[in-house]
Amino acid sequence: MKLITHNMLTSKCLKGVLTGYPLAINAIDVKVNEVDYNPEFITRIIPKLDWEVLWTAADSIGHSEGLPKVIEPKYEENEEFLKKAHKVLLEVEVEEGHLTCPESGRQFPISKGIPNMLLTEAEVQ
Amino acid sequence: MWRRYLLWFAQEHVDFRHAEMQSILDFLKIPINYIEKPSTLKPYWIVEFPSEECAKQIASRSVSMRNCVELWSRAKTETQLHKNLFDAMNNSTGKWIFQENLTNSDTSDLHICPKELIENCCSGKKSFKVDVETFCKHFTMKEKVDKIEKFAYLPLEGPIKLNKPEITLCYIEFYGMDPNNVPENPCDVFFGKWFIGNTSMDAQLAILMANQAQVRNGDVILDPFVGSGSLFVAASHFGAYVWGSDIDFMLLHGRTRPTRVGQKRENYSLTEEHLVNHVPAKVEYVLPHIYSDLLGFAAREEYAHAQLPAHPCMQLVANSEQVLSRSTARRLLTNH
Repeated sequence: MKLITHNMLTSKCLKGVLTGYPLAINAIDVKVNEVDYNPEFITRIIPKLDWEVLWTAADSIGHSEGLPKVIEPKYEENEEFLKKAHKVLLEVEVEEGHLTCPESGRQFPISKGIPNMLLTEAEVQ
Repeated sequence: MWRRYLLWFAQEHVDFRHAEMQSILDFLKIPINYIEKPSTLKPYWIVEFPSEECAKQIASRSVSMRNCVELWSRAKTETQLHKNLFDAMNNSTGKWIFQENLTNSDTSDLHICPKELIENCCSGKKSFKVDVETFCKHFTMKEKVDKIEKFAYLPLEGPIKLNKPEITLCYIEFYGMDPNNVPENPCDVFFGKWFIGNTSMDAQLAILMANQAQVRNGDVILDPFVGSGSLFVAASHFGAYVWGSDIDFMLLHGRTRPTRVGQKRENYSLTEEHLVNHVPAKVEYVLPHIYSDLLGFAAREEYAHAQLPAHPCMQLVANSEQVLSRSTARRLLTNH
């Protein structure tokens, strides 16, 4: 699971859960895989992200080093920043572990890099 | 000067053709001028583009399009085609002489191209060959050569070269779409310079969908029911970042084939790891209810535009049907 994916996931489908965001990450195995760097894509995706959530997620798995807590203006011109964001968003992968709903505590297992968000009928609103 | 082209399409997934072309024209920002109203009943369009580059760009993306011919002459009969082409050699107006008179079929067949098109190819002793294509009727090699000989009046100075010539000219006869009812004479004939072809030997729906979604480098594609991910192969080919989910856990982990591929029923059973929290649903579904649902389903209209899902923020731009069997089909709805 890439952190860009984590930034978009919520458990609000759970019965009794209002926002279910952000999910806490408990990582057992984290890998870094090289991905082609595309500055246009990174520049375009940043406004769609919750940056604070990304920073906290990166920090919780030990990859926040050098990543600013807030996005600076004119970030699109800062090559060093874009490369760092690229790494955190696309190269860092949580292979094994689980996600935890902040409200209900329900855990979602991550195995072989894929979070299992499936719920049983009884859990759905 | 705008140039006139004959675009020849694959005659499959015809319902996607117009939508795909519109999407490509729109995102490449290429203007088009239809010389003839496009129809799915014929495998070709006659259009104009501002430049040859435009036609090449379209051909680099389209999968519906089989090939592209720079049109020199077009007519309803072979005799008229030759007359048009012959007259074109004296057409120094710099534009097409084109008369559309629907009340008189004799004069509506005038399509005379400017002589520059022909002169550009004939001068300079460029090597050439002439291909003969016939749609819905077969001819022997001898008959095809006879057809080529009739173009002897063209001032082609270069040598004939069948393998990789500098210029390939193309003569096309169209005998309609019904193989059981082929007419004696062609109903449409074309002549021109063949320049792009076989960009799509096998039109694949995944690429069609990627084109209709106007996928470009750096786009994000979400497929909530990703399955084996064939749409992603096409989307990532065009540089998209892809994102998918699926209910089939085994499939995502590559441990099983897609359920569509004749999978046995046992694979639908829940695995031990899923059973831990599983509570089977208990919904009352009594016989009278089942019965009325079945009747309601049977009485439902086959297909109506009003049934299509819609969203106030989205506008439907295309609706293409993919026929699966005699009684079933699915539709690709393009919204934006």
